[in-house]
Amino acid sequence: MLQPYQRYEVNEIIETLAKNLDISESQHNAAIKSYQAVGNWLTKDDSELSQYNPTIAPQGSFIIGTIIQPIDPEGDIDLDIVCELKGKKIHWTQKDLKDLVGNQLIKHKTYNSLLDEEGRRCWTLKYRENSDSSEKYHMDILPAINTHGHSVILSKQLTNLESTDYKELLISITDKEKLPEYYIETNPLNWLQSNPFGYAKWFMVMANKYSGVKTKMFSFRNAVKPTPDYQTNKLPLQRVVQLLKRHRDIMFQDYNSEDKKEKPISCIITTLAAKAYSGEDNILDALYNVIYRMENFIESKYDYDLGREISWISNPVNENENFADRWALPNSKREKFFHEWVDKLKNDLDIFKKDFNRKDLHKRLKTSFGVDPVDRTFSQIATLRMEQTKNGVNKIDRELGLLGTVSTTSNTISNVKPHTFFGNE
Amino acid sequence: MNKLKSLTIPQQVFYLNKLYPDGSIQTFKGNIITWKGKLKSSPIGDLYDIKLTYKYKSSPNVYVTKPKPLPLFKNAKKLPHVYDHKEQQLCLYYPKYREWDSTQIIAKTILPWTIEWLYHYENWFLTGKWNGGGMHVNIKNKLI
Repeated sequence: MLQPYQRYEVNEIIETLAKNLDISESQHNAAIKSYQAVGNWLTKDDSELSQYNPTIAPQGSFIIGTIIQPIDPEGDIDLDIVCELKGKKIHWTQKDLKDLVGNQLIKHKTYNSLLDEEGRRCWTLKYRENSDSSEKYHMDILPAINTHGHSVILSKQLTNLESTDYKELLISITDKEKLPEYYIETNPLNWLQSNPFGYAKWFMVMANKYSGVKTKMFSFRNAVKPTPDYQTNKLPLQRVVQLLKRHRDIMFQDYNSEDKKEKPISCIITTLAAKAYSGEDNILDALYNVIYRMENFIESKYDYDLGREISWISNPVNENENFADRWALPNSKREKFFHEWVDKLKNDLDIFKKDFNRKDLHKRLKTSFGVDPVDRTFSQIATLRMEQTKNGVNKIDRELGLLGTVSTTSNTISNVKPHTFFGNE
Repeated sequence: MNKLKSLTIPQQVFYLNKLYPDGSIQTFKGNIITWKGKLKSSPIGDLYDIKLTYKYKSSPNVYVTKPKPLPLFKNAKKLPHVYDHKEQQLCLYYPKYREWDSTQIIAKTILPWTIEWLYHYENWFLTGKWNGGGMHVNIKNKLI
């Protein structure tokens, strides 16, 4: 059972760790520049798309604040972009729209060379900044038609967290595997309906259940701007999702490449975590409760084609979509891997159930989340303590030790006077 | 101009007893104190046995008596910020900056600095980095 100051100290460590898993400010700004550059190219006056006022906007983890560093420092950051048109030529089929976006990308000398194989719904650009090899993005560009009217509604809808009408945010997308519609369907209302912005809003509503004091918190209004600011103040649910994704990355990093493809997908992790989150005001409690509740939100439905029950994780803004649809594929290990991952999470975090010290925690966090971010975390907090002493705001409790800046007064707590450690070596 | 007066031994003892009641004190010849007690680095840190000796108007000496020896970071050969590695005598302030003198209350300076040293020691043990700040002196130079 953690005492209050122990809980405070652990929360500080876990929060700082999550911050170290996040992308940096320069990565964030470079990501914006990169999708704006692609967007500018796609919306150029002489492109066939231009008359339909395409807008380029990021979706997914970038806007809901749950993006993390790739496990490999040389690896790509995943950026999901929607290329949304306000209308289309009446005779355009899904294929026509998809090809138009693809052709425009091909016309660009550089993007042409960066274009990956055509995806089911997206075009993928393996985006590299010319000069700086550290900017690497795996950019999925999703062509879409908006039949509701985009810009006016998006920012209003996304920041009005009271109204939960997600349908206004639906967009029509193409799906290469839906045959024969892909080749013949011209009415966008009959295309696959997707709702990435509705999902983002749903997530924000969940994160906002936060029951703590809301000062200096993440701003969703800011996050959905065309050029969102880099934010470091995030809500417990956002930090929990970052930690969970990283834990998954570390767990599966040494699996063979076939098995790696079956690791739990971020979409499932994010959705179940958000469903399991109940407004906890600190990351430790949020993490614990999410891990123990997540699996309760996996439903079971009868699949008539397969003739059996399958697991179902609903898209919260589209009950007909099952995020776990690939779990039911023949010979799939996905479901097994998912539960093994949750079991490992429970195991790794059982450290708090018995007596532990800083050394135990450091060791456990390193094996779960990786050496570098954990070491950086401990060093950053220690440096903070040093600065707090320098500024005369660091405190100790005679029995509990160094506390940092705490606002309670007690006769066992006193200030640490500024001083300079000295000595040989 | 008021000149601060050195605290007497009974005054230092008074504060040590008041602020660290779980410690024990012995006084010798009226001008030497030995304080022994346990200090914790931080709420999730470890507990250490500490010995502090002080001769009136001299400088306090602080030792970690348990664990002895203190475990070192991987490849390190010596503890950071100590006067004496074997005796585990801690280096808590820079004398040249006059950060401590006998007008100060030991219980309000030296012991909190000891706790802080223990915290940074634990982090140094884990990461190899001492983030507590401080000065180093070339081993050839004389200590002040």
